[in-house]
Amino acid sequence: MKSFDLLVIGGGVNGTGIARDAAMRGLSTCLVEKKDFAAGSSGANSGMIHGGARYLLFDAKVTRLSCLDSGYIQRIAPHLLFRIPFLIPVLPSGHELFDQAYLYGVECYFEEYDRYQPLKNGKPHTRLSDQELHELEPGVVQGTVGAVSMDEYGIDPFRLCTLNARSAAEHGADVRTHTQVTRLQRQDDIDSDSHYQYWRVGLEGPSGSEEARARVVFNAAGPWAPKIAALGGAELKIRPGKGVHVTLDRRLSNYGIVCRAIDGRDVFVMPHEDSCIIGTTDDDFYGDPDELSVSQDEVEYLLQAVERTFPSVRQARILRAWAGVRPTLWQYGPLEDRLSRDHKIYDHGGGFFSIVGGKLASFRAMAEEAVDTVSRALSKGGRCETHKTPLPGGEAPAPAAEELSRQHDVPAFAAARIAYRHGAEAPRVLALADERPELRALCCPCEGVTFAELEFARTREFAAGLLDLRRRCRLAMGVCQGARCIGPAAALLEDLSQARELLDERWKGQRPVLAGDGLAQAELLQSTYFGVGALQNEGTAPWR
Amino acid sequence: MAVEVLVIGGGMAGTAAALAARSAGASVLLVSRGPGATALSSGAADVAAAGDAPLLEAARTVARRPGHPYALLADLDGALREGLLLLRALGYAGPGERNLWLLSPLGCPKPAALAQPFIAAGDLRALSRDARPAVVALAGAQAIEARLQQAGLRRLFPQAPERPLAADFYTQRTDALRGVPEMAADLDARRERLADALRRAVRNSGATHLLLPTMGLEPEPIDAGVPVFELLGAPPSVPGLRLQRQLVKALQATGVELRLGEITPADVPEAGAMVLATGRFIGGGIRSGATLTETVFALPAYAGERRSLPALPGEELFAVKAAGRHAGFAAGLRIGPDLRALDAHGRPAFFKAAPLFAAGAVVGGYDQSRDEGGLGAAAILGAAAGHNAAAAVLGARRASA
Amino acid sequence: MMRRLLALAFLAWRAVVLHPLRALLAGERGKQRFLHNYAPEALVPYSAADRAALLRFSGCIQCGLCDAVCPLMPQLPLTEWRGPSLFAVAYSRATPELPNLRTPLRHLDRCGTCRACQDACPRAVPLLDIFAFTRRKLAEVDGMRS
Repeated sequence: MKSFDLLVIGGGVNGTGIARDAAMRGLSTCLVEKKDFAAGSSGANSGMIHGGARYLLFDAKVTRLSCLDSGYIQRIAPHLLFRIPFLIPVLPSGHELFDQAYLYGVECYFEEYDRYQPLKNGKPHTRLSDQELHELEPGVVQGTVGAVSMDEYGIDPFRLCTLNARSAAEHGADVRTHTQVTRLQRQDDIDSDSHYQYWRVGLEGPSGSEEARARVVFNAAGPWAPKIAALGGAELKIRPGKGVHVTLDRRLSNYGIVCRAIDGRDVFVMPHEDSCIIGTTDDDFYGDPDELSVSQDEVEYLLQAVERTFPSVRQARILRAWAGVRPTLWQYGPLEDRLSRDHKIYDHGGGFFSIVGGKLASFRAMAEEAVDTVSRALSKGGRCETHKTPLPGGEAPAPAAEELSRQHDVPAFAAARIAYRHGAEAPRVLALADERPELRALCCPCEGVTFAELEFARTREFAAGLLDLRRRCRLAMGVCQGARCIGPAAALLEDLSQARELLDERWKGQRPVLAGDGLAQAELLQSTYFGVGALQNEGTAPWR
Repeated sequence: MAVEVLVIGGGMAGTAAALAARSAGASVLLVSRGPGATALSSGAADVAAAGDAPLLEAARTVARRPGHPYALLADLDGALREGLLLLRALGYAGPGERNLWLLSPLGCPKPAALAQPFIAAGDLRALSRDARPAVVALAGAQAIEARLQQAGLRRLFPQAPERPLAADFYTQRTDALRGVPEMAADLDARRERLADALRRAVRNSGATHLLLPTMGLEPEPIDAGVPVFELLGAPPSVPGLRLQRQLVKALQATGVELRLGEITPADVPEAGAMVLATGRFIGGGIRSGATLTETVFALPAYAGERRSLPALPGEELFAVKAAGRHAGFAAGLRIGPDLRALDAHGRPAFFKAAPLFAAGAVVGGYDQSRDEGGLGAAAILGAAAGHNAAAAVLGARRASA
Repeated sequence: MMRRLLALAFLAWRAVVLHPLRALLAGERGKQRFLHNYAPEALVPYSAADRAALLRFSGCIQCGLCDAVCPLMPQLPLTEWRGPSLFAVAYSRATPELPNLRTPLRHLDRCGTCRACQDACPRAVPLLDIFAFTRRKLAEVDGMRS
């Protein structure tokens, strides 16, 4: 039976971050994830690394640490971050003096934030008159009082979690996806050889059931944390908050725009990689985090919010709507929006810990704190190096896309996207195409996914099937939502059942927003897979 | 008046209507904005499929589904025959009484009433159980997709080779970027080279039949020592391109006047009768906004009983799974017994005194991806609508004579 | 409580004293500074004309018919020119990508605007406008960088 210093449960940004830090500090670590990296909350958020500007007034320390950590993330994975400037228009309330004072106040606020921006290579704010605002963004509704600008970063959260996990594995961690924890039991007796007390862990994975033991167990299961805590005999309360986002087919603007929804909440429409993301909602969620769906009401709420400030959003093509659950700290009483976004580490005793709350952007600091705790409990482990050591691909700038394209004979767009997703590792990915020429072909034209990248993810990045590949490489995440690429990707894996799964998963996100261009695309998808593709006849031979 | 029958839409349904009206003796003008779903056709012509039932029986079964336009044909038998005749005249082949069974791009068996000739020749039903058919892998994405196709073939024919046959037709590594339409052009230019490569591949593998992703834009038989067939095409589809060209040729050959361009109610030419064959969502004949509407004359369109797609809880027009039944994809115009388009009051529609008929995907009630009829249905409905439109005009002509 | 009061007091200090001082001494303001901040990273504005055009670009369903009829396809290396479809469904989606796509965009010079692609498109995607848009934006990005 395998013995570990630390078992981490949950392959989201916290779990993978903790596993990485622990492995780098020399702790023997096992990371267990029931589905795939970032299959939960870490893969359903806004995809931003931001400096916590909202805490500036009353919790400047949090802001400082967030900006500092955003700077670290930039350092260790520079290829994954892209800058998103934000415009914060002030719409007239009817009282001119109030409006001017409000705009002035917002400007002073972000001028204060400017002090922390250098920590993450952020740019200073600007204040824009209504005219200047419209020169920069004519799509904003007319007659504003003015606007303030600032910037944050966007990131591909799936790649982030994957790279954390790979780094953990490279430092000796045992990383297992599609593996569930079925049992968690503290052993009362002390092991005669090692003189430690262990937790006995039952694991159920692709190769069957297994038992392992670990001195410390860290529960980083996000929305499933209470369930895991209960497995270990502890009680843990969280206040799950559902958040819905909508993705548009292209960048409508290079700048994010903050809008006010009908209930006074801030909603944004922002560029993210090659699309736009509109988000988000915040509602208490009592259901099963494995069964999230989006209602048309939620979509309408978001569109209405954005339309008020940026009217042309109604003419945009909506690709899909998706939902995630925030594992927020438990509090009875406050409105969802007012809940603390802080994180907390719970010590359930006997070397069983849970981590709840936090934000994507603070994962590294949270992981550091977590591993410090583990280290203390084990009286073992070196110093944290996660802020200095690059993640795979972050060691050097990615080679130029045109250069990659020429050297490896792949289309320029694919080279550019591989350079974004893999950074300095791009040549390693494309080397697969050098070995097998057919891999240089494009599987998904709209996201620049070559078969080589899919094969790289399958063999080096723990991707077990099409659903995992979607997360690694943005397969089926683009304009076609799989119409063009799911068949060929299934062909690479030689597995049609995976095609069905991914088709259903993509379909789920399209259903609430089917209209216009998306509807024509869906019609083509139906024809490709169920018309000419005849997927429903798989394995049959009706004429015999 | 300027023309007797005006057809709006140049896909299969519109062309079928134009040809039928023309052969009934009417003067015909066909206006088309551009290619629609017909140009993305796979090379198969679907009429109906219900298991492996004979074609007419399958059509009758499918006609019983609520709202299916076949139910409105006075003589389904006759209409079926006419549609198949028209398709055969365009070069489509097949036994006719039963569906062909063809290998799909995903390696699954797909039924079709008729298919383009080199595709129809690959009827899986005609191969013996111990045949050794093999898909040919040429390069790039096609070579990868061939694996899935071969795996599907092997499930049906256990003696078939495990892997697709690699043919050394392409030599450069950048050839891996070629898609099937590019391969079609290459094949047209170097047919003998391909034949050589195929002969070599066959010799080393013992394959008894070969399936090619394409046999060129203008296919010809290839001598590889064994029968060579063409596979169905997923978009971008070479058979679809072929078909679109053939439709234009057929129209020109019969003296149908062709006009390219968008049409609005303001510039609709005068005509004795009109046939709408503008397609569904891909072709642009149906729009889904606040309500479902036909795009030229703003006639109401329906998905099931409903006029709009946004669904209330419990009234979903799109099933939860991608493979489910979706009333939304069968959205379209309501039609009457003679394929007359119906207006908002459910009465036969007119445009400036000309009766409006409808055919093809613009007509609601049949989901082309659920074996309820595709290109074949377009031909059947188009021929019937064209025939009825001509009858309406010629009847009036005779009456006034 | 005390902390909140202090925080508000500091904000007030900034509002009344620090900010006006900075305003006096600062160089670039407003739009100038904004562009200076972001344009070098290809984060350029979209004009009203851009936006009006952009909203018509979304019709592509990746059917590939345009690529099949493009006369440049057989003439140019596939690594450099994959046909019109990628302009609709990839290149025109994000201006920061454009500096990586100089080679395909340069080949637009050989695009004689024969219209075969646009005529073949079942969804009437305005491909020629999309070509013009990508060239325009790349030129802007280059202009803003220098």
